[in-house]
Amino acid sequence: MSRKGPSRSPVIWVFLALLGVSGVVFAALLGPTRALSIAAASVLSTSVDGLYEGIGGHQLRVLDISVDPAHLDTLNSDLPWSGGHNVPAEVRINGVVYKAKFRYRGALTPSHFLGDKRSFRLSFKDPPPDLPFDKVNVINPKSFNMLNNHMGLWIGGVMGVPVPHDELVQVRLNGRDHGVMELYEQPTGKLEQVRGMWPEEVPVYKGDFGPLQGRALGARNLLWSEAAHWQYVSKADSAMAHARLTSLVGLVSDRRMPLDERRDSLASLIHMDAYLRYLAALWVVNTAHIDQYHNQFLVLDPRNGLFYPILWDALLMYEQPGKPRYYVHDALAYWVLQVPEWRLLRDRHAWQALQWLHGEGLFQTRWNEVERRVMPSLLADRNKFANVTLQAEDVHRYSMVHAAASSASMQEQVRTYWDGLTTRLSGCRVRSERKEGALVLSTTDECPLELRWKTVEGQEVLVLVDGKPMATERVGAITRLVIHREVAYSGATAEPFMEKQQFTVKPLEVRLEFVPSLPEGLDVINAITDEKVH
Amino acid sequence: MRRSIERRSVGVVAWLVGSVAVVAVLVASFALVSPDRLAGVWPMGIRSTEVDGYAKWLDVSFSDSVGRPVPVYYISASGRSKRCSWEDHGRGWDRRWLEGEGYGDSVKVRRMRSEDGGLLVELKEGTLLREQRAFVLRPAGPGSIRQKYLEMLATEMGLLTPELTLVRVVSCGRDLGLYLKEEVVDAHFLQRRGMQDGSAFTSLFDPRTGYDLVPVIKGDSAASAGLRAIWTMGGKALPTPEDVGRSVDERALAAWLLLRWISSPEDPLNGEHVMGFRWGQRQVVPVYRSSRGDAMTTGPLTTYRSTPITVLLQDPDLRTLFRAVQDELLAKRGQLRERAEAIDRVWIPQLAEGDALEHTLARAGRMRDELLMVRLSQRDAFEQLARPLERMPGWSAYGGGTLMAQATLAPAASEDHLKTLLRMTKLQSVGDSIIFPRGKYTIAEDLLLPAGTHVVMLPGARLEIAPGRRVVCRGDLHIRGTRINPVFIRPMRDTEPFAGLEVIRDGGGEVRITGLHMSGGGAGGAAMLRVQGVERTVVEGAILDGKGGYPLLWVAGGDVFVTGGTATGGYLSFIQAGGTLKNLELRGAARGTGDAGVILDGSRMRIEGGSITRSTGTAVDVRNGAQVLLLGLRCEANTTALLAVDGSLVHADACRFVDNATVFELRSEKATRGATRVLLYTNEYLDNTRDRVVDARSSVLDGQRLDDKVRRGDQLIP
Repeated sequence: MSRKGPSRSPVIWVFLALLGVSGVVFAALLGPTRALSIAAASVLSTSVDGLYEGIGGHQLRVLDISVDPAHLDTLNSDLPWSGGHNVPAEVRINGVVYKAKFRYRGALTPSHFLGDKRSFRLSFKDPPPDLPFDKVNVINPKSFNMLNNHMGLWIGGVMGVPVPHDELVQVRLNGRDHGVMELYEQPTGKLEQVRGMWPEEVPVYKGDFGPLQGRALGARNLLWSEAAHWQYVSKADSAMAHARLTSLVGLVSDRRMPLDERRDSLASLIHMDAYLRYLAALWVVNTAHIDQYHNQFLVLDPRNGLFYPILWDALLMYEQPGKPRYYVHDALAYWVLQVPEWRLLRDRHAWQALQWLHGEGLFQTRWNEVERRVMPSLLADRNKFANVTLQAEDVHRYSMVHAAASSASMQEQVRTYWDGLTTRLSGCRVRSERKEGALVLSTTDECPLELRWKTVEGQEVLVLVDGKPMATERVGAITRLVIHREVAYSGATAEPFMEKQQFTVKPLEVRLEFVPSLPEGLDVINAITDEKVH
Repeated sequence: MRRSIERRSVGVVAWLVGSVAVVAVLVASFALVSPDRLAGVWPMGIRSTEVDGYAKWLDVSFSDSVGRPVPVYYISASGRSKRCSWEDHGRGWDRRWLEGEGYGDSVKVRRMRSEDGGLLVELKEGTLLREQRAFVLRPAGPGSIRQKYLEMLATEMGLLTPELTLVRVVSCGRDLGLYLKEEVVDAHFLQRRGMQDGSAFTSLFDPRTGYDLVPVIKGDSAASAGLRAIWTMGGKALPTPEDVGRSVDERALAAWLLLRWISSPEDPLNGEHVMGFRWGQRQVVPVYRSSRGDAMTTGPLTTYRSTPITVLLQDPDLRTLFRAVQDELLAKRGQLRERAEAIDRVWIPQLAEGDALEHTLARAGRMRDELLMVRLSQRDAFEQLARPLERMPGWSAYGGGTLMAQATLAPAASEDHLKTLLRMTKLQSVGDSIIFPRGKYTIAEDLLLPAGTHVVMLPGARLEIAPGRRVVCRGDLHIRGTRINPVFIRPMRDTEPFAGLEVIRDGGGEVRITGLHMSGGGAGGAAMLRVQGVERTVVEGAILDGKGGYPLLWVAGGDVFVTGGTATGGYLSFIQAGGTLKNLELRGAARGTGDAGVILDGSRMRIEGGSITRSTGTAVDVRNGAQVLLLGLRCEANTTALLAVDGSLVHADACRFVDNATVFELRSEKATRGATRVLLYTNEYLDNTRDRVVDARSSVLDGQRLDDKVRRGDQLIP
């Protein structure tokens, strides 16, 4: 008995042939890797994400927004240029309707305006108590895992740096699910007011690209070259703030001032502890997304008249090039990182943060918790859009597979980076030799050293470092002296406005003489970790 | 055997038999199975709401209980928009007519922002409904009985808690059903419960919230500042229970935590919590209020924000108190159960509204037993409250806190000027101190001494400060003049005032001044001698001369002892400080009159002996809930002898009030501050033009005899 297989319709053959041709054409036009990435994203988002049956409700806050579709059409007409004007909107929370203004935001990064999940801004005249901000950005998260920015800011906050409020939310637009987005406070003069820290508006400056000019991007200005390059975004009186900003900008752009004088002057204008924590956070988060031109905010602290920075758009593991020890992200950092005491303090802040975040597992716990909460919404989100290749224009729908892989890879990347950072900060092998009554310490590791010995009453010890007397500090029953490290600049010429430069630590060889004699029980300590060196 | 693949239609009879059989089984179940069993936990994912639904329609069991009538609140359409309350979804207030329980007036109504369907009602100033000025109306259902049980437990534990009652709301003629009426926790609520100096605030413990980091008391920036100081716990990176000190009423906190645990063991501190702040005692008192049905909740908290409340969860003393409160309640469990059953009898018929009464009662019994029998007896409740703490984001900028010495961070010290002085004068730098030995020192520029550097001025030191300049000390200050050999601080040129001498610290250290003659400061309205954030300030025998009523001595925070000195032509101001002012002579001017006196802002102070004379202003100005004892003080020829404002409490005994234009002026301006009171014991009044000016909320009362402990000084004030 012969059995005939079912006959295939010619339509199927035509379809397969067209598919093959289109694959070849796209591979030829875009390159095979790019074409494959786009195709894979499309196939996976259709097949894999479609399997989810929507079990369980959202564990994210739901932002229920209504905008007249006709207004949305006008905003969509010529993106990114057409999305910048405000249209009326309503936001419903707990059954109460709050009036708002709605516009798209983000003209530089295509994931903000390409695809169906566009980033937007809501402005409230009278904001809801649950979102007590004049302006909030609701953005399409920049990574597949959706957590990079959120966690970068969280790390900064834990380290004590002021950060905008940031949370993942489930957005409903005109009654339809729009997917998971990131709600991101836009700092204004009310920054401290909404936090309960100050009863009135405070002066706030934004350091970013200028506004769009017709169908062109805004100006790209070196922020520290002129005070006018900072945009004032507060209603507080700006007279004092502007005078202080002008002084600060003048100080940063002055190349002749001696270091001591510059140090004292900077300390009289900047909340230095907050700024050093900010620098430490950039290092721990490993972000190069903040630079000479954008992503900066400065607030004039009403309590002491000093500026402090806000950590903004700190993408986690947006790698600082060349694994720098002291990354110079802008001209102010260029000067601050030349002060040895401040370098040490920054390093100590970074070390302490690593103990909490990495050592005690705070980061991993938080990542898991946020991921657990976002998961039901993420699974249900059929509107996930991001760059599926390295090409800016390749913003396409992606799948849960991308999100899962990205999450695992990001956690691994953070672990590896922090392991390295921990080794780097704690590494401190020092060679000590006695030469002609002096102690010679040398090391090629990057650690500053601290000498400690017990104070003997009535017996002052004078310490000469390379022949120069150094002031020791007495802390209780201990006398201490910090031997700071010298640094070298990576650029051809030492210039504060160069981009993506760094300071590297020079090897140490120092000769110590103790008068009248080497104190009993002298310990050499890693000044960052407070551990004895070997 | 082959199975037929032919499709067969299901007939009408089969449908009927199927439906009727199911309904019959359900009706029989509700009729025959005890309601207790029905109200229990069901297998196979059957939820209690489903059972309740079936019970509502299918429970035909008869019950003869009849509920008491519920008060009906009639709410009219809005005067402005003409819309009814259920039609209006805007955030703003509307004026509507409210009638109920003998009240009838126009009131302000808006939707609750923390719970869908709730209404907030605020009555007109001066009118009260059942003694309440504002209340919320929240939709009620059979489950609302749980909130009533919790209110009963809160009351039993002595916690402040708003009263819960049931009302029926009729809006524009439409019956909206039953609502829980709950008084709003505000200053009025606290004052009605004897907390005259109380202000209400809300707080969050969710570290995921990047706003409302520190609670704010609306309309009272002074109280907010005091609360902020408590909430930031000195800006420490890792605060401990010692840093919280006595700023939280631990007995109330233990009870509050227990109740939070009982009401929501899986997530006791999520959501918004309301508390009272006692301005006079600088103490936070938790208030129990039922949780809101916020639709925007985002899962349980795995960590808490670091606040005084959450830091105290590490305190073993609090654990002991918690256990004591728990044991106390356990011992009364029988009585509590009876009281809960009594509540059931009144509330359940009303909540069930005639439907499935037995079932609703059984469900309530389950709830009651779960609260009283299961949760209350859980011995590890306190341990289960604990979570890891997270500091608020940005704490380094908002609250301070450094790992290393402040010296490397503080604004530039005037090192050059200091070096010049060290070189050109007898000024000495010894260890961490700057010493001014006997001699003349010209301070030509602002002298900002490095942080942590103490200043010592020895007898005979004479500082002459250039116009508008100041000396800022960021360590301890010791001025060691004597009566014969004082320390002088004067302006470089007599007619041009310098700014002042300032001591600024972070809550520790000491200022100790003896034999100081200081004059000619206060340029630009600055305080001539300013002490801020110092733990202890002692001033003896100082002579302070000023002009124009500017602050001569201004002390913010800490303990203060000022004795045996004179001050002319200016004020001594004490803000949020506590201590004693003894035998001080204050005069308006050396000759004639001028502005002079003492300002006590939120302070707790004893003024003993001494005199205040010839002031064209107020001799003793007491404000913002300050508590003051005047003992043996002489006030003579002043415009006003005593001005007490905004919830302040003044005791006056053995004082002489002579020839003053007004002796007492009392005002209570801020609604959140409570009434101002003066208690008079035995005082002498002579030739005063007017005895008192007292507004409606303030009062002058006759006190009983002052306690001997207070008279002797064993107790600072009554």
